[in-house]
Amino acid sequence: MTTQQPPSLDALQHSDRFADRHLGPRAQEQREMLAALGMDSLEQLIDAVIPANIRRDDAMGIGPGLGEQEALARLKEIAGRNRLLKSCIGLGFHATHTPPVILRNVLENPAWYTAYTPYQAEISQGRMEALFNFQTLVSDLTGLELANASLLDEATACAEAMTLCQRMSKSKSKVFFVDRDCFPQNIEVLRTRAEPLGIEIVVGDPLSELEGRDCFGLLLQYPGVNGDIRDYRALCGMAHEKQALVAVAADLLALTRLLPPGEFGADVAVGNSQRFGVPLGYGGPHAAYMATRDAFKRSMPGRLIGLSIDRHGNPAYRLALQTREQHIRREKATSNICTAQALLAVMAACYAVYHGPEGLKKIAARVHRGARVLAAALADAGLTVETEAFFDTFVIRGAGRADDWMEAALHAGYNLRRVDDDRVAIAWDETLTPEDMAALYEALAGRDAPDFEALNARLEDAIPAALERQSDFLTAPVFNRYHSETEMMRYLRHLADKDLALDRAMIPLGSCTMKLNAAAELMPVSWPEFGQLHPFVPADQAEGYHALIEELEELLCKTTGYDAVSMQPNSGAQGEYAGLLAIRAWHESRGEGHRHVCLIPASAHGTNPASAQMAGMKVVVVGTDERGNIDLDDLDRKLEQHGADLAAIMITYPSTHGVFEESVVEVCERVHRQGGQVYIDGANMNAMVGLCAPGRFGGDVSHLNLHKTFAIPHGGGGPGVGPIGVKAHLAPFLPGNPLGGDQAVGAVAAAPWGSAGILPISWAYIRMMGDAGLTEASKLAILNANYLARRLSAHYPILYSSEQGLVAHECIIDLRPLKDSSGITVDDVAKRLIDYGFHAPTMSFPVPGTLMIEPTESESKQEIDRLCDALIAIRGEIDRVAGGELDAEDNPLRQAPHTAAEVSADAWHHGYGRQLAAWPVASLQGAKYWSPVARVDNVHGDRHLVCSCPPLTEYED
Amino acid sequence: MNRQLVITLIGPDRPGIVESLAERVLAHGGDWVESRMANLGGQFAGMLQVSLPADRAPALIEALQGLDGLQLSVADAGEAEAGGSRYRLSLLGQDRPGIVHRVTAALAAGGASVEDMETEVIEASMSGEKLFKAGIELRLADAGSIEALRAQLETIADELIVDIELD
Repeated sequence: MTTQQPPSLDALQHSDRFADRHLGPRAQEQREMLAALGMDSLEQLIDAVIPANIRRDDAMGIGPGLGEQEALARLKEIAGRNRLLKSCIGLGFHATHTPPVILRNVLENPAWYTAYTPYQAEISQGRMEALFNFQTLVSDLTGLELANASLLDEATACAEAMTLCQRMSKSKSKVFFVDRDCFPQNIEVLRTRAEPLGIEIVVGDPLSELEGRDCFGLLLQYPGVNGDIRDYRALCGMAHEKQALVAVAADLLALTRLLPPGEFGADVAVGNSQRFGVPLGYGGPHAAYMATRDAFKRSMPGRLIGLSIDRHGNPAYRLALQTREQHIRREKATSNICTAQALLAVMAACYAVYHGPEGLKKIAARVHRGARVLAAALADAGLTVETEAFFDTFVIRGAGRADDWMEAALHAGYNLRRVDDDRVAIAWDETLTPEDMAALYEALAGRDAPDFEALNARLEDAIPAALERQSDFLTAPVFNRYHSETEMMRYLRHLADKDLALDRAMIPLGSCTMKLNAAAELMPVSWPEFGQLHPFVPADQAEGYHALIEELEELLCKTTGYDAVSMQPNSGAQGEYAGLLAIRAWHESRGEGHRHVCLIPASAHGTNPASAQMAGMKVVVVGTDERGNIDLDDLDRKLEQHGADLAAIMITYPSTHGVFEESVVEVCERVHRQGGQVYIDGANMNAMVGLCAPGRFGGDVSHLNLHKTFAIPHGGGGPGVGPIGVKAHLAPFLPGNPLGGDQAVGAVAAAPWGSAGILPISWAYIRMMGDAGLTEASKLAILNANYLARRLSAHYPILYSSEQGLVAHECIIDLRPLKDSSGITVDDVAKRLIDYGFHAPTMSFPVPGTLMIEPTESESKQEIDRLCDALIAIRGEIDRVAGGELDAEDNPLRQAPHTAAEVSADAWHHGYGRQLAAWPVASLQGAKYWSPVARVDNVHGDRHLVCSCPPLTEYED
Repeated sequence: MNRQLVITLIGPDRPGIVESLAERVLAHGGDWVESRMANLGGQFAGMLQVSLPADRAPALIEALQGLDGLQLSVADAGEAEAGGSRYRLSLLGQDRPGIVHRVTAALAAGGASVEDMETEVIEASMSGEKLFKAGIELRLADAGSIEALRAQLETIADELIVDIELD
């Protein structure tokens, strides 16, 4: 018998704290790391790192953390408040069956969702192959030569198409002509994006109104918003005579049946790939696509996967045309697209791989015949069916009948789209059955359903013969090989095994915050109550979503010190853009619309100037001092010079150099005194949560990368979510509803809440961590970075550390001196790390010739030590090169990474041993990651640009 | 009357080269107009424009030839002053052989002369690829031919997949 008091039942109930699962370093490890830093406590370290003048001393008010089961139960209850009806609303969003083999092996598989953007080509071959398949799919279906690996959504893709047309057109006109048959959200986002760029949007019927009008481009919707399929062949010729380019927003499934845009004369095609097996998610995330002619390749926004060769001459994928990326072009950028929707593009591509061309044709036939038969039956019942040529959508018309029809359909469990008082549109999708046909028929015609089979048997398709697709598509072997689940499952495993994601090792990318994406956070994403809601359902069917979003907005306000949040921006860069639009509109509302100068420090991330440019602002660079901080004297000069025209300053905090600048309060005050607004880039928020808040130390607006700080996974290059937080005075200028309305600032994305479908992840993260857990996470992120910096400081110079040698949540190691002495570059070190089983840190950002390392709070000391051991061993190898012991070229760094095939081959051609090549540290025994390809040849890839699979005939000898 | 001498020097780098150069120029009444000097691969490489009285030029050249281990060449630029309009060309693209040749050939064919050219190879952020960056100051005798030159450069930019801007 013990006399000790047992823990309370309540304490026992909550003994499994989520924060303890999310946070890497155990208590003992924390003590060891603090000791290495010469610190007595975590508190002492944090006091030394964070300037006292910005430190918050109160709790955030988020409350205690929930256990995993508790949080899931809460989310289940919230999800239950969404009402799942069948939605025949269309507008580019359709219910779809995600093949379970894809749901389980891609969407729910950390090997896919925790990966990073494939900058490190050698460890990203699997996901690049999947994205390459996506490009092939898009290129084949649109009939255009070159497709990118996804844009954010169809509406922003239309805006990207508009600016591409302007860049490439020889016309001097400022008019972009938009078919009134375009989806309303596409038109709305075009208006938002056009205005700051001085582009005039003219909406009308191009078939009757384009003649005699000057424009640099036009946008068509194919099929149109009400389902009509129109013949645009002559129109494209007429546009080209005016030097105008033609962009077409096209439905990929319809293109399996219709003459593709590339074959009727279009220059650009864009659209949503959602209906290829990607859950609706109340609006996103989904992958949009863009395809264009080869001649416009340098103008193509977004990321493009190309096929190159590796050191041994074997085929290998890589990100092509990297020089286009805005972090290089900066203020000359024409697009701020960075992260897009890689994971969703992978899903759509896998859907096409699994179904193949014949499977897609069957799905298209099911969709078309469903719509066709229902339309004919309704016409037989005496209703007026307005649409003659259509694929999946048609309109019924009756004087004043629209509301009655909407009501009757709703009563039967269906959402239709009300076009106007007299008209209702019905969009068919692959999930709807003959039973649905009967139910809708009975609701709309008010009588028993006829024999649909008999009707079907005597009806021809409603697709005009001249616009029937004749050309083959998806003839490449990959789309014709994996049609059994066994084969598909193994193909997905085969691809995933090539890659290095968080499920294998830490990904120490500075400024990217590759923290844990906990399984419990991800699970609700697959629930039908969240996954299957159409973005434009009536509000009373989405009460669960609204409750979740409202709560998350409030949580983010508490975290950041802002007063209002908009969830609409579906990437960090979109958030920047939306934030700058808010600032612009606020100045205008005060009669100060002339303020157009945006100050940006030299060290800023490239999206900052690109976003400013897109928001119609003029970028003026503010210098930084040798410590990487904003140069206050230069700031004063710029303020004096541009004060009257000053719109905003965009700063990153902690800075892109990973420094908590003491002067930030002073910077904000000086800018405010000149009438400017302060935009604080929230990319580095992971160092601040619970410790300081941008809304309190001077920020007027910030975007938050939910995919960094708030646990949304990176998905191999997206989805990203970039909500913005603003102080109260900017709240009226948050982005408006994409379906229009009276609003100060237009919509920036296709769906009202952007990528709503993944917001449960951030909700769960914040709720499960709780006030204390979140604050602890920030502290441990700082501890981990400082411990790592301290261990490496004996081997590499650490840049931008404080006088005490401390850093914030990331650190920069300088390789330039080593390059001078040994010729070994940052690239060599990055590739050599692959041999050690690691993804490289961030290369040459923000300083060329350096590596930036961010361990995050989720990594244990053990894992951080493993990385440090690797980097220290690599330092030893560099010294052997510098000392002449290893050859300047034929050394394990220059030749890295080493493939299994090379190391196990009978012949070995290097002056160093196989052991050093493949097993440089003992810890690799039993846990070796083998790069599937050797170093990829970048130059070859751009010289011989190949961005889609060749058709089957090319494989035949 | 003053002469303009353009001098290039190349040889193994060591501390004090520039100092001894400057000392000799001054000693011969020369005015140090403009210069570029760099350590490239361990070699000192320098270009220098000196203005000095015509009669003192031979002595300066002789003095410079006495500099230890440096190869020297001298051109007499006389008094010529160029006309025409100036433009700045910025180029950024993946590093590969032949970029400079293609671009400068186009400039020559387009009647543009290169006044100043700086190039470097930098590592691209995130991807770490090697990027070739060039800034060229050029002079075009006939300002009317700028559009033709621009079109020519645009073609090259497409072929080489580099970004070329001409301001």
